[in-house]
Amino acid sequence: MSEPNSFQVEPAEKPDDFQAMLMGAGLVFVISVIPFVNLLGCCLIPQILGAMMAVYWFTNKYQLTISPGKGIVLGILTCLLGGIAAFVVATILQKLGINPVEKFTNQATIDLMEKFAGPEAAQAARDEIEKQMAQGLTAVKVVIGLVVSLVLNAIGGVIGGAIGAAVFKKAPQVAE
Amino acid sequence: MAGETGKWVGFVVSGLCLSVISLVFGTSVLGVEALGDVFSRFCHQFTNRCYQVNGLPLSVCVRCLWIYGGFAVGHILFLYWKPQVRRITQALIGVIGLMLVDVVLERLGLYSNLFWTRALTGFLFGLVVSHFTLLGLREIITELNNPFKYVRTKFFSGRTR
Repeated sequence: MSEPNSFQVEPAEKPDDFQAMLMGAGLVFVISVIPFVNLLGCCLIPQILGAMMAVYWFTNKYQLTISPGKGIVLGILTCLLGGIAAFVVATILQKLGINPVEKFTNQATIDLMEKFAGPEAAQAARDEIEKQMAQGLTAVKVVIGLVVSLVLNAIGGVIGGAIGAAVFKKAPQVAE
Repeated sequence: MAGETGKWVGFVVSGLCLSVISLVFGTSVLGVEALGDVFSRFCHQFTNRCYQVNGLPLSVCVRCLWIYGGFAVGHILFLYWKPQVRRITQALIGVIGLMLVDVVLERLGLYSNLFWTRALTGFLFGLVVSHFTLLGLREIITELNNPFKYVRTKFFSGRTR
């Protein structure tokens, strides 16, 4: 019977980025899909915040400082995960016609345009919404939307990941 | 660190940003609706917050346009200028703070719709952030040769499925 080696040391916990990715992706998803909250979703704000949150979660949990490259990769993967999930859910809901607050969000969008851009822009927004509702959802629209969504999420991930890696530093950077 | 290699990344990103700026002007001047729709996903496009060219608003707002400008300049500038990381990080936090202050002061009604504050904060944000995006992109592309291998080894090695 072999004695357990009392000098054997278990390896330290390997940093797992997946949980961080899920947290960041969750934020991207929430800001992109949840009615009313999604009114915040312009200028890549959900993506940048999601990527920064993922980097923060990762560096804070494992007390790490990560390089800008790793921050960017973590940011891109986070935003793609959250962005694709948001796109799929939003497309399915739109296809099924399930959007109990569509009327309210459309009106909120028009009100926002009226407040910030004037009555002409509000009328243009109203026309655009009516046009889109009349056209419905086509396969071409879904494909174009997916491609644009992937590109935007990747760009947001690059910016958010780079900012996160620069701002959230928890320990001297480990040579990898 | 990437060293002297991978400088082309800065020129490529800067060129892409300049191309986007050209597209913004082109889209508005030529009235290409499809491209305007693409930009609508980047930016709110409130017409009173956009520059006007020939009486037509550009496809992105003042701040977004200057952020692209900051990126275009920054990705070249930081190829040749290496500021201290601590200083540039402080500058980043300061610039983000400045942008938030601009938004809050306008919301509080101290001033309304000043193009130059949006242009300045947008340009500085793009400029400072480009230091970090350039570092990261050069690291990914030069040190690792293969970005997909980088993703695999950094994040998925040792993970059992």
